[in-house]
Amino acid sequence: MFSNNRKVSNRQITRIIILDFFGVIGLLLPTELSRTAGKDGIIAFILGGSLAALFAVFLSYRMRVLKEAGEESSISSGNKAILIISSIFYLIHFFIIAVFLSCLLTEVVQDMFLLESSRTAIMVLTLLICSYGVKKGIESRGRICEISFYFVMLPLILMIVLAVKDVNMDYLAPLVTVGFNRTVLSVYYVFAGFSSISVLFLMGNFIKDTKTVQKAIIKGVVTVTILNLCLYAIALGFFQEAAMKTQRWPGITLISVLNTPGGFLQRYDAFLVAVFLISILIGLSSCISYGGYLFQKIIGNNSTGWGYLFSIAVFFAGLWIKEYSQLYRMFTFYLWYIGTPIMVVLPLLFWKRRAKNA
Amino acid sequence: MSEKINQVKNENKMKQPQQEQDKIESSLSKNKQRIEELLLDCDDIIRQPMKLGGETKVECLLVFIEVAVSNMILQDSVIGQTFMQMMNESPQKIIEQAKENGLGIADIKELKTMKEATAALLAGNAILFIDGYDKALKISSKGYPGLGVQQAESEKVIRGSNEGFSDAVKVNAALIRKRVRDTKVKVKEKRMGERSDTVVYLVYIDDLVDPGILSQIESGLESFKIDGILDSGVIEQLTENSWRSPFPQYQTTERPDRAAMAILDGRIALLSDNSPVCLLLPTTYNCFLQTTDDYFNRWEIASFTRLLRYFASFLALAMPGLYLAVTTFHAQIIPTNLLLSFQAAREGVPFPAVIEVLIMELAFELLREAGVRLPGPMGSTIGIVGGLIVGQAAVEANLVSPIVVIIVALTALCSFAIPNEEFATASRLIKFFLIFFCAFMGLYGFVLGMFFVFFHLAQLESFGIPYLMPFSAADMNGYEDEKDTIIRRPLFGLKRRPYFAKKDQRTRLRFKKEDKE
Repeated sequence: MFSNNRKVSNRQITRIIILDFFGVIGLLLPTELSRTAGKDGIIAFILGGSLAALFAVFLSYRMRVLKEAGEESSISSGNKAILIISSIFYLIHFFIIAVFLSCLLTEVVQDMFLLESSRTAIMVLTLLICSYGVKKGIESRGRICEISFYFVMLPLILMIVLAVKDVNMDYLAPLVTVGFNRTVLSVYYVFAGFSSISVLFLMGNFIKDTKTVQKAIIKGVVTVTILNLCLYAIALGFFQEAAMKTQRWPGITLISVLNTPGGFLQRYDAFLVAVFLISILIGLSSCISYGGYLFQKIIGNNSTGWGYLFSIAVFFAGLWIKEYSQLYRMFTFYLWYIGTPIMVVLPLLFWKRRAKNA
Repeated sequence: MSEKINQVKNENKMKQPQQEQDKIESSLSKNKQRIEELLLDCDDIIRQPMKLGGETKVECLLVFIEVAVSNMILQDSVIGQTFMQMMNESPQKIIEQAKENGLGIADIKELKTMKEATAALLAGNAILFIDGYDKALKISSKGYPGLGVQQAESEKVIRGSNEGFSDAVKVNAALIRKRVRDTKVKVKEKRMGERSDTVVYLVYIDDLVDPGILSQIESGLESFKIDGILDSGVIEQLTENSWRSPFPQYQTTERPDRAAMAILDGRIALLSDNSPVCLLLPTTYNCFLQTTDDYFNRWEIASFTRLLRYFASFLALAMPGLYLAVTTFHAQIIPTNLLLSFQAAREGVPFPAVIEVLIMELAFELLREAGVRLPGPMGSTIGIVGGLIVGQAAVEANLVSPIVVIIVALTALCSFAIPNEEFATASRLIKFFLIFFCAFMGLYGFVLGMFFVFFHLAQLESFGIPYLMPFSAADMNGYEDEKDTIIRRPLFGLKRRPYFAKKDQRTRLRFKKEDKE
């Protein structure tokens, strides 16, 4: 009647994008960028974020055109073979991301919270709760993002404000010191961080107002870019380029060394790491949600059980991978060289098909 | 400008025939029809046709709210005396007497329009229509149930009415009607329970309620057969959708002003006979943390107390779990001096922290349960005795540390700050779930546990309204509902009704100045 329409509002879309991408990009990119571009990572963030925003504009424009043409999503406009092939591509992509996120989450938890706890137990509980979260579809996911947004943003902004005073500006200058190739590569890395935004391609059905959604999507991408840019710049101003290259998660290290004036508690890192965890949890639940949805499309059965099946597959794949560093290498290779190109090309292919049909 | 003048002229033209139409007719059948139209679905208002006069009878219609009017056979009541005098008169004489107030009773007044008649009716008077007489008689009676009605025990407020619902459903409906004197207030009667034949009232404002929600609750009530309904709680459990959830999907209240406020928001009040607990539907998380005096106090004070309540509702479920997570897994967070004093306090306690917390929490639940079951003054005594003596003795016997007593006491205090008992109980249950998670996984367990609760709340709905509204899905009412959440905006800013109300009826406050503009 009121809800249960499987649609999300513009505000929910913005927040889904922010929470889906903030944590992953924040944990994945700073080390990679410091190694590739150093201080120019700041430029990479700006350019890569802008590129991602342009890509998002293209996707949202596509959604609107398709909706106006009476086709609710590009997937449903394709013939069955294309539909299944593209769905399989997306399914594999989200499966890989889900496996990576579950392992990343377990690694962060074991590193920061539970040194001696069982990896399996952490993974099982995490996946169970994420699967429960997507049980009622995108609408409830939109609601949870709307609420969780405050729990992520308020501590984060507080942290950024507190950290700014300790930033050594000398560590941030001069800019444009690396070559053109490395700059382009780092810009591509940032863009690749956002490549999963191609998922919007699937979400035409779920968006309440495709006419005004463009602004909401850009807002989401820009917010993630600005937040991660701030964190990167602060971390760079704190640790200097050389030290940053050696850290696994500079964002988390930054939190642990932060001095809070007049604070009652000794350290806030555990609380602030929770901020990243919320974002990763939401990202993981998004992957499970899309995985379940794609299973439905491929098999042609609208059962909600596919999400659970996807989670079980993620769990076993996560258990199979013993070393996080090994997974990290595999994942970054996949993302840079396979995942991102496919994520960009798929909507373009559909665009061409649609133009031919028209 | 000229458009506005024309608009005003048209409105005046429209008013003229409306006033004509509103006049009481001399034909009783027409008046009866009009009354039926106005009081459609008002099952608490009695329309009593009767014949008065000697041999040639005149048809009359007496309309009254049942519990607000004295028994007609009582000789000392105004109605009784009126009818006694009219009983043997001729029809012409009755009308003449009515015209000239020949009955000589001071508590009778002539009414010329239907609007006056319904206003008088809803103020608790009886209205008499006589065939052939183009006016109605207002006969004053005892009026609405007054302060004799019991006080609400569970929802005390500092400012506002002290009345509470009683066990009689008719009195309860009248208590709502006393506050909202509008013919659009409908009271739909349902009879439920094969053997108990319990009267259940659905009270709502016809043009504000969403028809979808109304039909949903009506079909919910018709979806089961049961031998007896002895309290509204039975209806609540049999009609809610998510029966596995500990969170209530109906808001309960014992306060008529709360119920009146709810129906003014477009919600529905469900009253069951023999129960002082009224169910309000639909509901949201936000509703459970609002009180009536939030709207009677200044916005700054209301916002501050709401902020406290929200904080309390979080701590009521999170505090013991957080304590366990921090002291057991992440002691580095705590300043060294505090950590040392924690350790010193725990010295000699043979149990792990989680057992300590569970012992104290269960002891507290036991005390609460015992306090509720014991009669009045003894109940409060057991709380003090239990709290002081058992707590003190447990600390001295090294069964628990003083810090755990403080944590449990603070948690209890927080749960008492939640204005709704059912909601507070849900928080208390979830607290144990979080204790379990935190005891095994520390802060990550806390994050996971809280996430689980949030996921659950995000999926929960009450009659199709998202439970977390307006914190989420507020776009459905143009983000207007956000003005009345943790921060309550000044009253002049709350111009719109919440999302519960029908879409075209969401304006509740207009300033005359705005009308002129």
